[in-house]
Amino acid sequence: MASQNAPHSSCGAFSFSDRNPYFFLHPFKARRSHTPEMKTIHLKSLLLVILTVVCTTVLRAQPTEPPGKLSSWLPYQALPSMMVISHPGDIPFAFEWEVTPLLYSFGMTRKVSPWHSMFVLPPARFTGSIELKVTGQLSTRKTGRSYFGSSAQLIGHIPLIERGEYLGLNVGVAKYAFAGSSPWFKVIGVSTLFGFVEFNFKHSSDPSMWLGSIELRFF
Amino acid sequence: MDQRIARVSCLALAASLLLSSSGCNSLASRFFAKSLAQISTPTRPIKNANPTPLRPDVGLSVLWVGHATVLIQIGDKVILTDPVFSQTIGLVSRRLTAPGLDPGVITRLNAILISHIHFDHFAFGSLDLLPTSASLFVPSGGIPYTPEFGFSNLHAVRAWQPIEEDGLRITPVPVQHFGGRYGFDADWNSEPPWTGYVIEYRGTAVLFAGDTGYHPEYFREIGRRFRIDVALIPIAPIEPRAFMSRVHTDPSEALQIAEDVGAKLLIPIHHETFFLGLEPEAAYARSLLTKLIDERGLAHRVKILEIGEQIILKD
Repeated sequence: MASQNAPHSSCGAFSFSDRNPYFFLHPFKARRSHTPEMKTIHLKSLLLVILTVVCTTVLRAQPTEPPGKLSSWLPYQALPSMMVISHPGDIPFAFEWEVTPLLYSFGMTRKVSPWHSMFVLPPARFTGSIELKVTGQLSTRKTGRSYFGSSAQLIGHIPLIERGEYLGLNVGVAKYAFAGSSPWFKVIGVSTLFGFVEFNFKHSSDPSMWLGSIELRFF
Repeated sequence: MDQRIARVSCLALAASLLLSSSGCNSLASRFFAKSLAQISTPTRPIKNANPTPLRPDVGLSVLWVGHATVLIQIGDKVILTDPVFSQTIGLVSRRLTAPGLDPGVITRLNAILISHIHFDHFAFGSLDLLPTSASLFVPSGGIPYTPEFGFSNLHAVRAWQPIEEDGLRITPVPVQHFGGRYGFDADWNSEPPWTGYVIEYRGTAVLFAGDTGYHPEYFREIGRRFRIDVALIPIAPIEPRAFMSRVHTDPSEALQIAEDVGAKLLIPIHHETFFLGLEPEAAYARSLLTKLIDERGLAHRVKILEIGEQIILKD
């Protein structure tokens, strides 16, 4: 974990040296410093919550899975989404892979469970849902000390045209962990083409920090 | 190091794209190219669409709205099959001819039958236009694709398991088709998401075959179990036959199905509405069927409706 005083990297990737990146975790409190140990605890807690939710969902939801599901799911999950990351003087490009540990669908018939985990058919998402997704990023440039990043995102999908199959709205929040920092982002975007393609814009409260992504969503 | 990562990333992307396109072939690309060419073609309007297709009571009436959308009235019961009123299907295939009916004139409806989950048969936006007093019938494999429309009932149907509502008996029957809704989800269905239906009421039976290839055993069995008055059978898309023959009947096979099920009358559907095959012209299937009717002397057993045309078969 990078400390608050981590130096700028040579390629000029994210720098939070002038602010506390964990300020966003406590919006109602005054800015204050957190030790690296506290940051680790925060992330571990987040991972623990996600793991618990996934295990619970997998055990409860969709007890009868069709055969051949995994073999068609895996190749499509391997398709990366594309992302650009802003920072002064440079815009690194990154590939992003996404999975959905948990999705609650409120637009589908009540004859199927509203809870989905990992294996999510597009209508369950685009007809109206709240999705917890986890992503991993591989940047073409070093952001901070690493080429790698990760995030947890909570996204609401709101159908607009043809029950969301032609057009839908995405809103939510994302917490990224890269460049030795883990800022919160507000997310807004649209999904189209049967929910296969999402154009999302993510912005932190720092005006100079934003992410733009074209996300391929199949399952 | 940066360049190496960039090269590896680009290779990964190229491999991914290759993987994703592995399901594509020249047929898909030809179809897509022809679909794009159709986008600028204006949709042919319907003149004199019937503003009052429903009667208080009728023996049997059939109105072809277009494609597989058919408004059927038997007695006081009104049934609509595969309702699609949209200008395009799947965002790429444009409607060649406008719907033969304004969905707003369907003021009462007892049953909506969905044959399968392809875009040209299961259109979410079109279902939103219909009275929610109806019951919606969907093949059980299609239930995971079904939004909450608010219809009075949603029946997940399985072949040969009839559902009866107030004397109207709907029996799902097996047909031969393929796929999921999006192509890549074909292996996600533990049960087939396609079916045909036999509709029975007051001694009249109508077969709605939905979308099907020719499967002699299925249709002969339907003929053994029911006395079919009218069979609504698809006759297109036809080309390329090597692929289509497994999943879509051509006019000759449609006539054979009518024979197998013992239908008194065949009404062809699933042609001239959307561009779905590689036929040289939209009316290709109709011209083939007309030729066969003339050759075999079947004019009394086949009625080719125009889009929007209603026929009263029993008063």
